[in-house]
Amino acid sequence: MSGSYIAQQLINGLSLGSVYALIAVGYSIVYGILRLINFAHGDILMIGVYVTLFLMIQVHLPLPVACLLAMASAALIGMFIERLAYRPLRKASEEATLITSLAVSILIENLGIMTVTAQPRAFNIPAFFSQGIQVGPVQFTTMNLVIVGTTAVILLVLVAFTTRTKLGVAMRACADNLTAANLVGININVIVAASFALGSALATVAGVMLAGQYGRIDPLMGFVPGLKAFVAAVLGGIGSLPGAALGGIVLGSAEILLVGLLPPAFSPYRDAFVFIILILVLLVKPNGLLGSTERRKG
Amino acid sequence: MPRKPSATTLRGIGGVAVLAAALFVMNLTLPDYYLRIVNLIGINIILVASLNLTNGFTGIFSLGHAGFMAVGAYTSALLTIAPAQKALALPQLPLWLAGISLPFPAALVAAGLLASFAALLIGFPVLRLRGHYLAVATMGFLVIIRVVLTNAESFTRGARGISGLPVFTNSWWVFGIAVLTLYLLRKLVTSAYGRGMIAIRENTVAAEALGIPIARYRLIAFCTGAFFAGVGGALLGHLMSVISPNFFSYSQTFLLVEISIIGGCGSLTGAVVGSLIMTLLPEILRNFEGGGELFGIALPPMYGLSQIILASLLIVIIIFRPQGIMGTKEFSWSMFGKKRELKKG
Amino acid sequence: MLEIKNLSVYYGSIRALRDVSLTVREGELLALIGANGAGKSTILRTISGLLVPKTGTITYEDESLGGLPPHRIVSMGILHVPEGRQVFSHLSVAENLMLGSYRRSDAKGIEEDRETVFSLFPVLKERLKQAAGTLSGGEQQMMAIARALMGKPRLLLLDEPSLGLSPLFTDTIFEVIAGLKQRGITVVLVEQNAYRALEIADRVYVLETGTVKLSGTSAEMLANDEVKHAYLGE
Ligand SMILES: Nc1ncnc2c1ncn2[C@@H]1O[C@H](COP(=O)(O)OP(=O)(O)OP(=O)(O)O)[C@@H](O)[C@H]1O
Ligand SMILES: [Mg+2]
Repeated sequence: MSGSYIAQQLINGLSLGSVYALIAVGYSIVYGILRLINFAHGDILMIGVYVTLFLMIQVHLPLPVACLLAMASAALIGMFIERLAYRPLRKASEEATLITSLAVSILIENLGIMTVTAQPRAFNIPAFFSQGIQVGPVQFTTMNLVIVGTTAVILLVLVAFTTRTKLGVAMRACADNLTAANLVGININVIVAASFALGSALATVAGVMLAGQYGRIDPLMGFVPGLKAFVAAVLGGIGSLPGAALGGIVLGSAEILLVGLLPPAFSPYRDAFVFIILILVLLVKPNGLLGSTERRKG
Repeated sequence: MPRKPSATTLRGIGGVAVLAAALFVMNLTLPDYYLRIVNLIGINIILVASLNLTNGFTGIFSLGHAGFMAVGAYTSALLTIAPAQKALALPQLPLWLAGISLPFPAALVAAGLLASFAALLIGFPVLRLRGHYLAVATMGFLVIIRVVLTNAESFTRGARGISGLPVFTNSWWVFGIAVLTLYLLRKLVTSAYGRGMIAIRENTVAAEALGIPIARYRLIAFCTGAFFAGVGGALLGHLMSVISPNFFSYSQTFLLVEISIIGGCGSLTGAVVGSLIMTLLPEILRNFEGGGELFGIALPPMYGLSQIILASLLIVIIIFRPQGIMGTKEFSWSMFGKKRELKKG
Repeated sequence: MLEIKNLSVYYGSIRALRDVSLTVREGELLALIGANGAGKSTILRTISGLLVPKTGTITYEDESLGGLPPHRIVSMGILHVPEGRQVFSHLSVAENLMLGSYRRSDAKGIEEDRETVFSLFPVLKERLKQAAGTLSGGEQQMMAIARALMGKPRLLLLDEPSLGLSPLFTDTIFEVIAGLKQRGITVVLVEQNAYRALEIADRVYVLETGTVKLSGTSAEMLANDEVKHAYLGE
């Protein structure tokens, strides 16, 4: 096994990890505040991707513009779902909110099947993105570069947002201590809505990255990446933003490296690896890699 | 000295007799399509009652039930399909498995046992987790099972699935086992063990202080639930005669959770009521999915409609009646007379 | 300034307050004393909107507070320093203080109040970058009070500010509380340490199992045999 092969796999892993990181951040923000696992998060990603595709094909917008508009729509939809399905359950048990989010997930997937059919569609990205780049023995595409670069920029902006702006600090405050947040006058509903908006927008970016990589999309495309990103968020210590980013990158790299290093016969089992990793990590470090002790709901 | 049977026993026997008579009549009169729905109701009762044991009574929130069904269904398929047929469809089976052909009851028991064994393997590490983490870890188990089923081609034919399972399942098997399941689970939850399980759900810390061996109780509940899930999965396989990884999907797990919540997850009666409603409703709704006419209005095809309606229904129920239809109440004759809470503690 | 009438509050099916009526006058330091579980914290939580009353009214300067969400109540100048500190433990002291002024936009006033707070609690200035969870118990209590002061309170609700503090810290805290009146802040003080509370309070309500048992000026209470016996340990 050559060094360049491993370098190659690391680049692929970093790129997949970036996607997970972006999705995981959304899970983590929402979980941090509400102790809600939003299983519908992956399905919002799917919506974002379809909106992007629609805007590219029907309205002939360039990919970045279409993606930005789709992020805005996904943000609105995320807030709408929160208002309708989750807010009435603020004081309900963990299980109740979990089931509700599963129901929302199934609902969105089937609305997708009903409106755009279950048939996969091609998601073509401009040729520019699939250009190969050769650095020594290591080869990657512009897409890899764009994915990793975009993610890095987004994460940096996110760090600045959560430490420099009032809204961002208030988000962290809500995740830290909801009672205290109430008592300094933070309107929790606004913060929760903002978290859903932010998470949904980031999921859209991640979804477009996935769609660009695979070239095809379908209404169920969000579920498994969503689940894996949740695993990433747990790995990093759910509720922690740096944790979510780190968890995503670790998970993506681990997934690709395992597939790349094990005999090819094992590669179809990659989804199984992810959950085996999850179970192992939870057993060793129940609060994730960067997590602190869990505040249970209720 | 023979004891005089109690009124409850007599009523129970009466109920079974009525059920048997009803099944007899239905078997004579109903067309196959409807008979199959009746059987599905029975299978769902088995699956949901067992899910209620773990999720409802013991408070282990598991999303892996479809995984145990899958283990049961594939086990029973591999044990019952005739060797000649296996040689064609699954030429790579190891010899001992290729030559085997068990009678249905033995295969059902094997299906349950293997599902239980899977539950033991997964439960041992995972049951230490709580709440959300447990839910996601059991969901992870389902993912793993599905990946294995899809890729262990020499045993499962992968995504194509196995067809030609002998159609052993009929309403006598289904409802016989359903009644037995309900009876056994009822015995279990009213036993000292069952009270321990409920104590764990209500207050883990207090239960621990009372000296209830929590880990063991949770594991027992989990494995027992898995046993019946395995049997239910096998019955389903031998009803449909075809199985594939897609049968045992997230939506299958979700459907069971849905039935359980709607019926009331802390009640066995809830499993029955929920299964009845939630098996019939999708069948009715499915008729509209392909389009058609309702009261003279032409409907466009709407694939996914039934799932959409069911999921919305579930959300509404969780918001407005989180305890489900039955809550933690059980059916009793006195329900029809004066109102009274049957189950205490 | 604040008028509570016939207030009853429940936690689920448990009744914590029964038919409580009390008045807070502008500019005074009012103490609430009573045994554990008497309902003192519950009164404060209801005023600040964390709990919703079942029956009864709370009127603040002619506006009804009943059912308003906490952030609206903060906007009206009522700030609550809850029992057990409740700091944002992963956030820095500076961020905690910044959040204290979350609903304000008068940059100049905020800056002034920061200076005031640092003059009251100089130790906070040295700890600005530190995560609040790593402060000592006494420092956290100071920070919680400082955070509330950053919200420019007109009415400050303090729940057991001296709980678990060393005598030295307790002295500092009581000195600061006694001085708040001079800054034009009306204070409702809940205290286990009834004697210290009576020393600095103008008026006192004594609560017992969810109802008001007695009320009067501090001097009256200090002279009352029943109070002496039950709460002052004499
Ligand atoms: N979250 C809660 N859930 C249920 N009951 C509660 C809750 N908080 C308080 N109570 C009950 O309400 C009553 C009043 O409690 P409260 O906290 O107001 O008392 P307190 O006077 O502040 O006591 P302490 O001096 O111990 O702080 C108590 O009987 C208590 O058991
Ligand atoms: Mg108190």
